[in-house]
Amino acid sequence: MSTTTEILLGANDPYDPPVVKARLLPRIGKYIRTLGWSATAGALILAGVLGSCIFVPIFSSQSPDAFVAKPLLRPSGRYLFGTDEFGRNVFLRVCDAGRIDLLIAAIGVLSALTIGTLVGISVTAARRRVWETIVMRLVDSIIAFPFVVLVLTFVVIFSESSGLGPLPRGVPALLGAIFLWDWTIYARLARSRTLELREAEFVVAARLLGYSQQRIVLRHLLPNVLRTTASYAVADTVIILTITASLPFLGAGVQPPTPEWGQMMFEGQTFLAQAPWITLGPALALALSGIGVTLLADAIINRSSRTQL
Amino acid sequence: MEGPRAPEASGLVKRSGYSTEPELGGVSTGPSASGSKRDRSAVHWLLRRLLQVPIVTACVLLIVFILLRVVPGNPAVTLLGVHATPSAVAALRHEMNLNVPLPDQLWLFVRNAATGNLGNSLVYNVPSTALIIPALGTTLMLTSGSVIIALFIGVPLGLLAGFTRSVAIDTSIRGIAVTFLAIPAFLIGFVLLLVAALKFHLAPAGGWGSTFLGDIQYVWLPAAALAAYLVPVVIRAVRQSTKQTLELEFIEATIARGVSTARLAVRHVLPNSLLPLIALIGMNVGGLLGGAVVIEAIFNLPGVGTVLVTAVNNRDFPVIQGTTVVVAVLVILVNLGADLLSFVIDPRIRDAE
Repeated sequence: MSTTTEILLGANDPYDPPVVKARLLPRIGKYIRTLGWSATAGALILAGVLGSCIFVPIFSSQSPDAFVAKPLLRPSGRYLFGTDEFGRNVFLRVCDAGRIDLLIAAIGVLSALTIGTLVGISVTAARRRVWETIVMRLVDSIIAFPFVVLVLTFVVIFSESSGLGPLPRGVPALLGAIFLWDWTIYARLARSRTLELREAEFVVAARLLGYSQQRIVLRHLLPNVLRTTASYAVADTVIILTITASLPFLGAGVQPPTPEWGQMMFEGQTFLAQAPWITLGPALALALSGIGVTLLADAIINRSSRTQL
Repeated sequence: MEGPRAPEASGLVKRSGYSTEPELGGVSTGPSASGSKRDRSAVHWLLRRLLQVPIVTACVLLIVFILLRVVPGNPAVTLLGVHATPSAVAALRHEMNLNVPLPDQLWLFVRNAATGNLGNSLVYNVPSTALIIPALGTTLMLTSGSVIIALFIGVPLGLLAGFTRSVAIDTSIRGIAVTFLAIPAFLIGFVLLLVAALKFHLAPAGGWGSTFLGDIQYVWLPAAALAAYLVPVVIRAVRQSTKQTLELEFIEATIARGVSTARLAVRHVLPNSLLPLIALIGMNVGGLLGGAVVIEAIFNLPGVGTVLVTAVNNRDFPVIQGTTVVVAVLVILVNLGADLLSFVIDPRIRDAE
């Protein structure tokens, strides 16, 4: 893995100057273009949502919580998604809320991906039947919980705990619940991939060469398994986004006053007849990020299933 | 065969991972069963699969038990809030058996759960099972209704996408699938509620009837909303298995014999999609029940989800705990049912030696 990166980056290679300039973003762009037009469209949609969530609140002179105009104004050039029942700028709030939603999805998926993959690989590679049985039955039983039910239970139990560091109220409990459930998916995926790989010639060769277990796991198995689990992680992001946004309807999730898409939709429900834009603004943002991620994930999964083995 | 399909499958069935589990994977992924690395006799597999049920159920009970006990501080105070009277706290501690040693608590909890006693509701002062069991009927009707609707929409679309030579049709059907996959079911529920129920009065906006036929009138709209969760999954699975089946030799032979396309689709291609579909619905039942919780909240149906949300708002812990256990056990049983069903209907699995 790292050797390929070094070759690609070619930091000290005078014979290959164009590649030296291939920085991360252009390389990602190039990779996405090779995935086809639907992935490019997905990436553009996602970049649009992500960009407005990051930059609109920075460059806006208003605070998302400020009362800037009359309540329930229709969408216009000045207020793209209109104003809500307090006269707050819905577009600005949607962008601000997106930060929390996308952050939760990113942290949740990345932590579950890392831990789940490592657990799945090491349990399988170690070939200790006892550990395999214990961990995989644990995985089975956690997967048996419908996610929403587990999150609800978890969030209720820990709702007394307030925010943690910069994370607003309700977020740590939500992240904990997401992690508790989600790592099991990756553990399963990693395990099944490791089962295939641990008999592969290059792994057997590494074992015969006397490499340590740690080296085999990290240098030989991990890069291969990660391809599988990471491509699933992109699709997983949609699920986490959806669940985060549906929790406020059940009285859980990110707690007000932190703006969050689901919370905004839930509050806008009351004004659905007079001012549907309060609900439809966050709904549009949620749907757009979902579609963007799904298009991207589809292409990545297709690609990795074609190149594997 | 199995390797390349594993991530694909897990991507399209949302919460799977399941189909890639080797012990079961050979079964769930159908045609590749014989390619499984660890070939075991079918009876052996069946016994192992049956044995998993009590083990996983025990783990579920253990997790629920631990979840309750890892709450920092006094769980009774946490549940009742800091302003609870000491007598209420003492009563709850007694109710939750918090006064006995931890191993005894576990034993009591498991023993009670095994006899169907999941504790009394703190708010309604009735056994929590008395709240959960009636609600279960509503939820089962909602979820099975959504499965039926999803099959009626998804299977023809998937077949069409798999059969067609037209890139436009294939792309637009896949586009529909992607869109529905990305849009949460509760948003679609909202739209249906607004358009179908409030604007055109095609169905009641919520509530529940008293007779079976009356219930169907109430359930179809929420079931349609919930089906949105399953439709893309079904479309993609049917499309993929159709494409795979069409490449097999016997299809070529059948076409050469002059069989009509309709017959080819229904008699020769569709049966091969059946197995992935059963496995798929089995493994999505957890997500479906989770989605049902939200849909019930929006349409105000008296299902398990509503019981759960009410219990959450009331901090009625025994009911939350009971619902969690019941729903988890339900998922385990449905998964088992799906596996057994594939075992029964597919000779390739049954006779795999």
